Order: sequence, then structure tokens, then C-alpha cells
Amino acid sequence: MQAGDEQAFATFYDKFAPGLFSMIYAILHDHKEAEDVLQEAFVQMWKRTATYDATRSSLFTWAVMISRHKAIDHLRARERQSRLVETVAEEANDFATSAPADRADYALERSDERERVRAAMAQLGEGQREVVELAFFAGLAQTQIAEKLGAPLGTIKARIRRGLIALREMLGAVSS
Amino acid sequence: MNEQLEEQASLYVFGLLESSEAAAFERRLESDADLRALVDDLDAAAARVAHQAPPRALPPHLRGRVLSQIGEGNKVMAFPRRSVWIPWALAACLALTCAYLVAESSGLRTRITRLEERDFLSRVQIASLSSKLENAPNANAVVVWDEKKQRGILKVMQLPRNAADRDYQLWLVDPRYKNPVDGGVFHVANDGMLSVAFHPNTPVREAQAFAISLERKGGVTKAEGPIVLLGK
Repeated sequence: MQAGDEQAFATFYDKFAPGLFSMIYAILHDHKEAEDVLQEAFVQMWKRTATYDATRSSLFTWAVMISRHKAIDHLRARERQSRLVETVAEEANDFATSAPADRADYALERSDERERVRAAMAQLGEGQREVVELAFFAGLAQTQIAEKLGAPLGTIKARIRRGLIALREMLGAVSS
Repeated sequence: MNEQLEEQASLYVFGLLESSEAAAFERRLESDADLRALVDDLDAAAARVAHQAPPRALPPHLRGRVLSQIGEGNKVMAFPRRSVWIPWALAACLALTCAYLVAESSGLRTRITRLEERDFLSRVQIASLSSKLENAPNANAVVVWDEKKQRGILKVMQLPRNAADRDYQLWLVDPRYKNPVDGGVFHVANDGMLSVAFHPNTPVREAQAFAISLERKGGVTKAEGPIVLLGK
């Protein structure tokens, strides 16, 4: 893929796009925007393949961090948002009948990994789990997280640290 | 590794450090291999939180979109440069926007975002409305809304002609109001095209979305009919 092989990139897309799309949607809650962001993220990954360092991170980590960054950027840039419209748009964009473009082996692998992560997250204290999820998906600043949870900023920072360190210990080796 | 550094690393991984803190942290990262390794580890752990997202069906058409963009050498459609003589007039914005809408609806949102970032358009809001109609999936519309002047222009394309006893009705969604604000009624001819100016009869301060519904002739005070176009 780093040599600019489009076929390799297509395989990369097939493996990671379904999970990344779910993550981006969980951040943006907007189907069309999630599609655009996923597309932008993959284009950026294609452009950056030469800079990917396999000794520092897995492809999964690299892809998640690029995609999440793009999604958070969109979230923060979004000035107009209405819960009412989101609901309407979501109903209108019911993709329940869409044919899943997903390979069974990748889906199974993702499902196993999801279960591992869920089990690990469940072992975190509620406060840590909540703050880690907010930090990852909500696109809020530290102070906003503290306000939202009604906790002192120092407590929030400590929970993020403890939660993330604990996850690292529980999950061990990085996924592919 | 002390707790303070671990905390900074954790916040850095989530993008939660202030810009000055992040810059200082990155400087330290360049020369501290242990810290670099910690950040890489925490990156990997944080990335796996992505699995907490509820599964969502990936639209099948996206694969083609992405790979085709890659295959084309990732050409980015350049937006026309701003000319000093371009007026702020809504009609000009509309013309530009509509040209792109016709060219490629799938990339419209991205380009509109770019367009909105242009300073000369900073005072107006542009929304792309997409079809909710099974029998007219290509129907679309663009709304250019000037909040300050409380007026806008609606350009509709490929919308089915409405029956004689029906009208299309534009709605502006402002969170200050329980119900969307009436933007007026209109009808389209056989060619499905329409360009019309509108002035809501209620002040709209924050138009978060625009919708068009199909209503009985003359319109209604509160949307009753099906939403045919929706966007923000």
C-alpha cells in the first residue's frame, strides 16, 4: 500500500471502512456527513501512506486516529445543529435495507475485537468509562467535559489518565 | 514515568491539550523516546475505543466513491477564486452553488463547506437540500439565506410537478420555535425547476435546517404533509 498500490488500498478499505464508518457516525450522528468524512479520511490516508510508520502504530490505530481527527474537526466546525433535524434526517436516511458491503471474515474479526474492548471498558469504573467515551466521541474540551459531568477539572484529567492506562494494560497488544 | 506526564500524554492522545500545551508536549516528544513510546501505546489503546461505536451499515456506494477519487489521482475541484467585483448578492452565490450542484451532487456538501468558508459569503448561509422522494431521488434544492436581511432564495431542480390541489411549502427550522417557520408556498412546472425569493413572516435567528413539504393548496401553518426535500 505504501508503494501506492490501489488494489492494496482497496483491501485496506474493505477491512477498516465498516468500523471507521460506525465510529465517525457515532461522533457526528449524521449519515451524509459521516460518508463525506470517511471519504476525506481515506483520501488523506492514501496521501499519507508513505509517512505511515509500522514500528510506531498498527494500521488500525493509524486509520482510527486520522478518521477520528477528521470527524472531530467536522463536529467542532458544525455551527448549526438541530436535534429535531437530526432525528428527521436519521429517519429519512434509514439504511436498514442497504446491502452491507462487508466481508464476513473482517466482520467477525471486528466483532471479536469489539467484544474484547467492551469487556475491558466494562471493567473500568463508571466514572472512567464515561469520561473516556466522552473524550473519544464527543469532541469536547477538558473544561466542557468537566462541566458536563459536574466534576472538577483535576478529577476529569485523572480519570482520563487512569482509564486510558488501564485500557492499555487490559487490551495488551495492539490490534492489526 | 510520572503521573503528570502520563496525564499529559493521555490528554494529548485525545486531542484535549490546549494548543500551547500541545506544542510544548510535542517538542518534548521529539527528544524523549520513552514518552514517544508511551504516547504510541496510549494511541493504540485510545483507538480501540472506536469499537464502542454501535455498528452502522457502511453505504455500499462509498467504496466506489473513495476508490474512484484515489484512482483519479485525487483531483480536487478548485473553487473559482474570489473576484473583487463579485457582489454579496444572493443571486451570485446561488449561481455558483447551483453550477456545482448540477456538476456533482455527491461532492456538493464538501464544496459548499469550502464555499461557506469564503469570507465574502460569511454573511449568508447556503444549504443543500436532498431528496426524500423515492420517485424522484435526484430532486434537489439550494437555499441561500441571509439572516440579517431575513430573506433568501430557493432554487429547486428536478422536483416533480405538484398536483393542482397541492403546493410545496418551505420551512426553516429555528430551535427558538417549537415548529418550523413557514417560508412560503410554491409550485413547480413540468420541468421541475424553480427559483424563488422568500421572506419568512416570523423572524428567524438561527436557521439550522431547511425542509420542503408537500401540502394542500395555499399551505398550512404547521407541516402536515410529507417532507420531500431536507438539508442544512
